[in-house]
Amino acid sequence: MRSSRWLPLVAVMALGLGSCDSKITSSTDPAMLARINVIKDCLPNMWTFANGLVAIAGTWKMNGGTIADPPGLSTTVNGDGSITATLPVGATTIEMTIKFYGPNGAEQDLSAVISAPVTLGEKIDAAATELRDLFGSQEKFIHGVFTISGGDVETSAPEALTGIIGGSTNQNELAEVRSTVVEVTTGVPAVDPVSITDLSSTPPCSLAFTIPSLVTDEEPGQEYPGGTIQLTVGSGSTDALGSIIFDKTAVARVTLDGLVGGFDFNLETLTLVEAF
Amino acid sequence: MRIVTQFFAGAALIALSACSIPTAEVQAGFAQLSIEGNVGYVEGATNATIEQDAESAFGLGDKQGSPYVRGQIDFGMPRLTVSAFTFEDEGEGVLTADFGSLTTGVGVNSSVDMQALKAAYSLDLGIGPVSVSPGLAVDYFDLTIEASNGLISEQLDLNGPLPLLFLRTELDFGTIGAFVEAGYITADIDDVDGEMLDLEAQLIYRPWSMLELFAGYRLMHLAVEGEIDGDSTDTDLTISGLVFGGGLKF
Repeated sequence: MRSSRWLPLVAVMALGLGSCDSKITSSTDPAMLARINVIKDCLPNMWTFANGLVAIAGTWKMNGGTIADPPGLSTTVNGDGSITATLPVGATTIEMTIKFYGPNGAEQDLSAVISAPVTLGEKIDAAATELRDLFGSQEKFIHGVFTISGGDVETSAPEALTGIIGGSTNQNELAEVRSTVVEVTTGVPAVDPVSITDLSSTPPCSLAFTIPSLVTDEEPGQEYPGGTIQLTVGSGSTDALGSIIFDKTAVARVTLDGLVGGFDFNLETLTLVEAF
Repeated sequence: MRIVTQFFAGAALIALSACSIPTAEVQAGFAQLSIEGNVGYVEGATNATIEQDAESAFGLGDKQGSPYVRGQIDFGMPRLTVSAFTFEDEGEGVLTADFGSLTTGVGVNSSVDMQALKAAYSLDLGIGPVSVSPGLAVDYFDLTIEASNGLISEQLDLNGPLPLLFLRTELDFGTIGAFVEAGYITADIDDVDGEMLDLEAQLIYRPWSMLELFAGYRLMHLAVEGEIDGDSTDTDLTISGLVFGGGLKF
């Protein structure tokens, strides 16, 4: 019993004689560094092609047909009422077949109203006006199936963008743009990612992006989109997952999963500035 | 250290010669603690102001639930008490000063993790229901503060035992009791100036002789300024809040 009275004393003394082990540790996550480098190495060039798609979809804004064609864009109205739009981006070509749909995914042949207009913007505006006259406020949308090829850049399979037509009875408006599946069945097709690969880089860069909703025509004269795109940029064995947040200005924010902050991405110059 | 040894030797002799039967108390409870203060750390030596607010720069400071335990053995005149708590908090902030290689303006995810153990040995000097107990205590703490932007992580570890001058004041009316304990030290060791204040207070209600319920307050203030591993730190933090719980007395 007596010996137990020493135990508290021993415990206290042992603690008091212990040593400090204070230290400062700095570390860098190599996996995150690799993902950051993939973004820096691949995204600006890969976005050139996504920007081409955005440029074509930019003509879907229905500002009375006043949207000028992107430089180099050529269009052909086909016999089934579809429009083939071709846009060169460097040595690469984006070819998109644009069709128009009414309620329940019913394809519409609007060749009678889209043949005469000259620019793609005018054709789209004329089509939207016809769809409005036919279906009023019911569901109607533009669907563009595209491929990217040439210059060692490719989509492995056709991809698609869909533009939802909204607006009031006397003012057409592109409510939003989505990346969707190629097949149209019973209505607006489901959201689906777009994948582009650049085989000219070593190792090849890949870009996959999903557009759930990109708003390009919210305000009169809107030049830059608003919304968030999920993206995966890959190179070799590294995949960088993140997003691009568009706030209707020329500078979007590229975020990377796990990274606080991100990059400021100038949509005009396609330059990235670290913001982390 | 010689004085400390002499104190404990004397206290041990008193304990060994005591005639009363030792009593023991154990308590367990829940602490609602929060952290406040400043944290500073830059690479290399500096004379500049490096501290930044734990709340605004690191996003810390919300109340967090923490476990709390306390035990006490009363040998009659000498008394040994041990209490411990853990504390964790996480937040998101934007640095207002450099923190290691993370620069001002960088957004960070931050965390703080603290384990604290206090052991005190004191001698009761009682008059009626009031007793005053001077003594010595040792606070063992292990504090880790981490900030990361996902790429770069900076971690500041402060730990070790600190001996404290200790004073306990207690009121015991049987069913109702209360105590306040305070421990304090300030020291300049090598290139580091340190200060610690440890406060603990409880109001205790004993519905039965063996059972007690308590509500109290716990505070641990730690200030460390100087060079660690050749880098400069200036940290001045307080973890404090209310504690609640129950215990048994044997």
